[in-house]
Amino acid sequence: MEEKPTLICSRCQLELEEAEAQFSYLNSSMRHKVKRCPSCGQVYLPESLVTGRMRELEDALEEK
Amino acid sequence: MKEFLKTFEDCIQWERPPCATACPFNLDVFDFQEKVARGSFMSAYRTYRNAVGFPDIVARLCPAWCQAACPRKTVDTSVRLDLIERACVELVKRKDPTDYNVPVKEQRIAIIGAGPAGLGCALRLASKRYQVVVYEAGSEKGGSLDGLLSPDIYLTDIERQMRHLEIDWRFDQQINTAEELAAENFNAVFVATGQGGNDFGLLTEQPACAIREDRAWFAGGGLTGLEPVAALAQGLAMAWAIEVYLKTDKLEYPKTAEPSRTVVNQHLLTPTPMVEAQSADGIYTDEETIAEAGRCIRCQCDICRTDCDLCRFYNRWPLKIRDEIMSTTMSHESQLNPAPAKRLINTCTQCGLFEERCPASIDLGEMILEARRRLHRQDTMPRAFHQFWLEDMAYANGEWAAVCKPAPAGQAAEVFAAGKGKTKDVFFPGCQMGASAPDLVLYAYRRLLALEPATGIMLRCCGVPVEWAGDDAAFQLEIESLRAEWKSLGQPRMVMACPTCMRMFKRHLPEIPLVSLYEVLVEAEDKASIAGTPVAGASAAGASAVGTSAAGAGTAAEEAVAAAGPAVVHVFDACSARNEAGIQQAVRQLLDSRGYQLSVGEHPEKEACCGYGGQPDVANPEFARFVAKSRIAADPAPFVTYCINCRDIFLGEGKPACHILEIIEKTGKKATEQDRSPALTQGREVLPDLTARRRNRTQLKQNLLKEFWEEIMPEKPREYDYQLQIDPELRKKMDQQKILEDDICKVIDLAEQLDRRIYRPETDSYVCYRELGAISLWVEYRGSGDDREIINIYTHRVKIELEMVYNGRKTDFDLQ
Repeated sequence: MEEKPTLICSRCQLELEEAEAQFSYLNSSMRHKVKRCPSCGQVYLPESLVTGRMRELEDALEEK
Repeated sequence: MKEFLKTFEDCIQWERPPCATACPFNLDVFDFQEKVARGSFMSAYRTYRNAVGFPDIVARLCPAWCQAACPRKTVDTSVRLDLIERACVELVKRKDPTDYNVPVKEQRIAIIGAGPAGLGCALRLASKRYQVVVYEAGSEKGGSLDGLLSPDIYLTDIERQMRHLEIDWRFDQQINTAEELAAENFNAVFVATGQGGNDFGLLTEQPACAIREDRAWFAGGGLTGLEPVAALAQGLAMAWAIEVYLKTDKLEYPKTAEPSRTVVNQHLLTPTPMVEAQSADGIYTDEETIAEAGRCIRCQCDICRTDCDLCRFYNRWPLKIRDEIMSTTMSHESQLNPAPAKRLINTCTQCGLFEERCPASIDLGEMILEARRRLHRQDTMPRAFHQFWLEDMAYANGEWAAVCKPAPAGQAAEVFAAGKGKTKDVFFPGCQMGASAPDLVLYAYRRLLALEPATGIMLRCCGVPVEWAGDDAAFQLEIESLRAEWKSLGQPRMVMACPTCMRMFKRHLPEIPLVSLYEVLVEAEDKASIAGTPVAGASAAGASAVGTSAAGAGTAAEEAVAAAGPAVVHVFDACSARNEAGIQQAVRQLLDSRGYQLSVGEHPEKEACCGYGGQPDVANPEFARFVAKSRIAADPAPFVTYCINCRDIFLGEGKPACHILEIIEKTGKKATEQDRSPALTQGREVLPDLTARRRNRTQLKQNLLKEFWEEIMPEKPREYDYQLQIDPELRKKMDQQKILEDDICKVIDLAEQLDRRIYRPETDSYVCYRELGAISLWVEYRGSGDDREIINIYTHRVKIELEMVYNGRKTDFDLQ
């Protein structure tokens, strides 16, 4: 949905970069590339990801 | 779980239809009718032939036992299966049987008599390549068929069906004694000598079979008194009995089928006239055949499929649901073990309709509740499913909302002064009425106090959300705490406003005497009308039973109502009050005495849950809406409920609905059309959002304490020193995702404290998130100081793991 917004970590004042992050839900864990602060690792998840693929994943795991 | 599994053994889903159990051939009627209905006559013919052996003969002679069994005869006429079969036989051109290549078997069977029973038995055994010898005293096949049908027809059919079979026919050979067969090495003998024939002493046996000299003897057919078609059927079945003997040495005699136990869903039985054949010979054309087959309702017990919302939504049979639940709740470590019903288990509304309607009394609802407990114990329950409601309950039972007070001394001064300071009744409004319509709680309590000054109040949740969440331990604590509060009030009678609370109390706190608020109100009105006091009279504009506010009712308004005619409403019975005739009656009487006309709708008996019960709205919001919409479709008239949750659900879906207390409260105040049914006209506008619901509870507690006990409750301190600006659309989204303003503040608070947020220069906004129990809430906002403008929120359940441990360099855990 977003057209590549600029995202700045307010603590480190650095622009976020694509990096892997670890996720877990209902005893499963997975990795995915998301925007993170290159210094402190703060994660940003856009709504499109949350309501899209993440929602699908939640639905699938809840029925697994 | 085991006790639930046992109940499923009685499920009659697979029970054969009444016509099939009445049919001596055991015809698979579902299969046959389905093929006919889609016009596959060849296929249908094969099904028929496989069942009856000689289709041309049976289609002409069958007395159609199925007709007497067909449930259609209760509404019009039985499905003419006989005519369908007859037409099917006529319509098919290629009737030749298939020649299968089956290895020859060694066993030899003698059949005495070439009548229908003998022929049927010979056909089956020979087609399995047993060595069959048929002895016939006469010189032709057919036996008792002679005279019933033209030999052309029956001999042609016999010839055709036996075309590929090798049978040793021995005509003109009368067998009189068993010894005559002694020389031949037969393994079994079937005596089918016809009516009055030689029974070789078998008819004295019960059943008519015996093992003599290492050889099985069976007798059947016309000899045992059967008419020709039944004899043929028994002959076919006898082949099975003989085969059982040959394979296992056990004597089994064909049994007649037990009558079908299936229960027919009455709504399928809509009268449809029987198709009359237009041709002179009375045989259906293909179109007529298809039309008549279409009248067959394929009798199968499917009451659960039409009445249970869960089965309807998932389009699943309960046996399948059972298997899925079992697989889901079996304790296991592996991810490979499928748990397909996790959502399903958390989707049930716990309305109890399934077990009530199921002819086998299967208790699916209880099984699902037990499954929830299991998931909870195994810690495999997705916590997000119930988190919101558990927090809601905690708030309702917490210091800012819960009230537990004996009768206020001020109101009952004389009672208390007389040393009888005992609280007789305690009003239990339930936790949601105070959240959704706090004024109704105040109103009802005032009414109750006017009727009985020694009335206390217990404002809290009944604990049903923990039960629905499967947390048994916490639920027991709730029960204990309710019991303790009740005892602390002197074990009074409880006056219940919410039917679900009432059901909960009845089940788990049986020692507490209960009465519904509505019965109390009706009783008071009855007494008042006997005493001649003006109560809410025969017309809607009548004075209210409270009487005090009736003064404002102008005659113009009364006339306006009179002109508008009586309001027609539909009483929506709460699922938890399904068996509470007293409450149902009371609510109707309250409406009736106010001049309301009651509409019953199209399916008055089908009322189940509104979609609130069992709290499926987080686990399966589509289901909750599906249920609500199904209920709404039952009647276009506005709903009057006596459970505030039903009202809120319907209003939320845009259905005009109001709580009975709203009507009682308004009647007589200003009797205009609008005021007569407040929520009915304002619709969902009267619904507070989730944040307001919590505030309402606190406000209600303050108001109660102030009005009745003159206690001043301290203001709930503001935890956050800024205001949120949220536009109405976003508020709707918050409600859908079950997010409160407080939750947003918690996110912003932590983000600002730790300066952990992401800045977006284009919009000059910050994005941040925080884990709130099982969910993570993302908030995008702008502003600082006293105001925060909330731009967006979204939530997810997946956890972001160890965010601060980044590339192995960071080890902070400051994000709670």
